[in-house]
Amino acid sequence: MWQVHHYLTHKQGIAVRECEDALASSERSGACAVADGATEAFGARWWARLLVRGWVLRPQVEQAAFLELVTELARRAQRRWAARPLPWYAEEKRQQGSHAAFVGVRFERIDGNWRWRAIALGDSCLFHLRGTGLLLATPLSEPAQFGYRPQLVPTRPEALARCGEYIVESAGSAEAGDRLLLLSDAAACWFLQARADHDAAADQFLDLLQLGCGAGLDDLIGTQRQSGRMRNDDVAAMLLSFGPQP
Amino acid sequence: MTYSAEISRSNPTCFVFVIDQSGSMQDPFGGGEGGGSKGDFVADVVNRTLHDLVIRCTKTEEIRNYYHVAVIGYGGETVQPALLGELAGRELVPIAELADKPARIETRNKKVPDGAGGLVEQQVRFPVWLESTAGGGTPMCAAMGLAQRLVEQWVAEHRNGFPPTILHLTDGASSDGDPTPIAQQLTALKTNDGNALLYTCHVSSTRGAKVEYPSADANLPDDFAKGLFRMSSALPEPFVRAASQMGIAAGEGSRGFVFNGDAASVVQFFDIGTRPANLR
Repeated sequence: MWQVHHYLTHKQGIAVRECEDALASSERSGACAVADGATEAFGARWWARLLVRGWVLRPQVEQAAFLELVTELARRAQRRWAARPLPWYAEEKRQQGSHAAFVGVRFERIDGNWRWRAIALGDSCLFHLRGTGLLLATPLSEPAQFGYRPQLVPTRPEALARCGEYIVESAGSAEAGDRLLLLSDAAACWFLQARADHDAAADQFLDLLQLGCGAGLDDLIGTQRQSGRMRNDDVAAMLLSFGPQP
Repeated sequence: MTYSAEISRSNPTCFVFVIDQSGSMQDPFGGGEGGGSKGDFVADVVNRTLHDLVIRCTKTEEIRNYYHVAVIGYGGETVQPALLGELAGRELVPIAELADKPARIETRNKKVPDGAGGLVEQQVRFPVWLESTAGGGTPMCAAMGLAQRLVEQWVAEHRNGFPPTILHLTDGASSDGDPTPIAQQLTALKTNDGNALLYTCHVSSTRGAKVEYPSADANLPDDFAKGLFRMSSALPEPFVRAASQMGIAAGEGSRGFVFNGDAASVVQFFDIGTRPANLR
């Protein structure tokens, strides 16, 4: 019916345990999510992981319900961080809270068709692919839109109260053979540029992802980083493929 | 392309603060702003800048050593490392060690946004590494000499690093000769990513027209100002961008130089000078 392949790698020069991108999927709820913890934020890795894991269990795709869920997760994060004494610099950083980009998609079969709904805040992106065509890219669709400081999913309540207007909801129908691709920012920006340049690397990336070929993806990403075409950053990728009706 | 090296733990960069502590730093700014003496104000701003550098390197409970930092004070007959407490006498210090060893941590009141468009007073911790002190002449040549020695050693050990930034603050003319040749030797030092950057902020006890980040010396009043201008490096693109974000009209060719600066100039100077991008 549907298959999901995923790939996660850390930026060159840091340890695997320092990767601040996160991804999760749930077969039961029909949901996939990618988050990218902000490098300069407190507990960014933990917040990104909490967001994707919490969301795929309760995949809220409408703004109000999404914010309610995130508020609950943020409280959990604050409680964990407040539980122990910290040195002065970590305490100050904790007070500033954490931030992460987020994109999540929920899909279901309705009257024999695949329907999907997505929600995003920040610069992690969703792409709807049909054959070799790109039907939709959201919330960003041009390489030039990356690089500015986007509004992210915060943990501080006052910041959460202000982020509603930046949340992007989207929806669509998928046919058998369609694919949905979720990417964190560096890979998303690169993917859009590679497609615009008719660079075969974009299709290679999809093929390797669908084959679950982690070593091949490592090589491809290493080459793209070295050439300067992809920014040296963590990469989270999920590819959701819809099969024919059983 | 120069000034584009990624700053990481394995490829850190370096900041050297060179602070005039001569007798005239006891005087207030020309406009009387900044509260007490220039020296008190500058010490506060340097402490705040060090604090901000530490926070920038904080990852949850860990500090990443993206920066090596030295603070040199000069005044009277002495030129010496100016960090206090456990770090007294130390020259270049990794940022993690700086974070763990302030001389003391004060509690101060700070106005912060209340989330409803207003401000509310909040108590914050204010680490202190540097105290205000002022006396005697202005041995600028000797201070530049010490900075040169530190930077020379650092670039030899970090060939691929983002080049060192030297932030020099003074309120008067050198009392031990012309610092220009030593400054030129200092800015001739380089890594594979570019030459060391020397920025100069001149502050004044008299009210006069300030000149900020000029690209030519035509509007500078005298040879002293022109000399400081010539010593100072042109701002590379990441610094121009930082200045522009603060609403300062800096562009290609602008020097990292302020003349007759006031209290606000000092704050901006240290902010712009410590903002190279590309933190990993």
